[in-house]
Amino acid sequence: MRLYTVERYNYVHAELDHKLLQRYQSGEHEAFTRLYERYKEKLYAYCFRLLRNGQDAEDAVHETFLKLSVGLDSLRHTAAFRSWLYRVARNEALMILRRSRRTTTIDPDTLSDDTNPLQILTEKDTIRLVQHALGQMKVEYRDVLILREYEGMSYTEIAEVTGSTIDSVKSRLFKARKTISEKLQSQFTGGNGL
Amino acid sequence: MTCEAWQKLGSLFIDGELSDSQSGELFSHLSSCIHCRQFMHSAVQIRIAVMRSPTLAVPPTLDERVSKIRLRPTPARVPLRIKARHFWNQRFLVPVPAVLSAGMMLLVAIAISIASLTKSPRENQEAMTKTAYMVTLPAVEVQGSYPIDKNKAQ
Repeated sequence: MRLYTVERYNYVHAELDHKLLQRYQSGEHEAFTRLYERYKEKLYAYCFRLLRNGQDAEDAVHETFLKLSVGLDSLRHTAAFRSWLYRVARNEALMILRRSRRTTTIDPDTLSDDTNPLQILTEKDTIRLVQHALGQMKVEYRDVLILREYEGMSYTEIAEVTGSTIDSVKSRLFKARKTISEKLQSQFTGGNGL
Repeated sequence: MTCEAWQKLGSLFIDGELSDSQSGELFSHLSSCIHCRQFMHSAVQIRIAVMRSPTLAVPPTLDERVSKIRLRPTPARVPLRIKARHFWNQRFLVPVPAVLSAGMMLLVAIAISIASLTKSPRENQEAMTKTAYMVTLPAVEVQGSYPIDKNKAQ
């Protein structure tokens, strides 16, 4: 139950981040390495799912930690470190997307755009179906769905990361689910009408 | 209520943001609406797919690149503003703002009690004036008789 574990990202984790940040601000470089170890996998996965490209995701995460190394003074509330980190990563990813002006790219680890949905349907691979549908979705919807479903963030945290309101987050989440649902309904229901 | 409105509630339910009474109403609707049931089924399937999706491995090149980031040199002294910010963010048994507020209230109470125990400057002034008057009053010797003779007075 990975999702529920992530949902219970609790006070203890925030406290640990807070202490690591304090140690880094007082000049302890080891604390930076520990912060990187704590977040590298999650941030890389988030950027990868947003960008659909390994190299771009790597660039985005690298830029994020580069900013972390120099921009900690701008972080007023260390308790909100996680949201801050994801916000920086998101901005970097969106910048890369804008620069490359592509919505999805071919990557050996994921499905390409020109994959025939029918071919996927025959594979009966729900994970790939969802990934494919995610890849075709608008970035603004994909973003909130990834943060909610993969990262297990609350509405408040998603609003902090995306710089929007909670109502907007709810609405975008619904639209994202609706979009995927419409694309995949025939596959999931199997035509048996539940 | 339209199906879209019910499905919005369904989306909230999946995220655990729906109250018990609203959930009851939603399930009551779901029992009679196949479209909303399909939406809910798809949304749940998305979550299951996400949970079953494999974890992505971080490429070793990222570790290398991040390890090459030049961290800022260790400061000889932590700037005062950062120290102050850390102090303010510290968690004590009693929060710092609460302690400061209590201290301020105590000071105000002491000031009020001192003011009520001492005389005002005006009262002090009046007391001093009376004393001076009594001290400097010259001795008066009365001559003649009473009542005063009107002719003599003119």
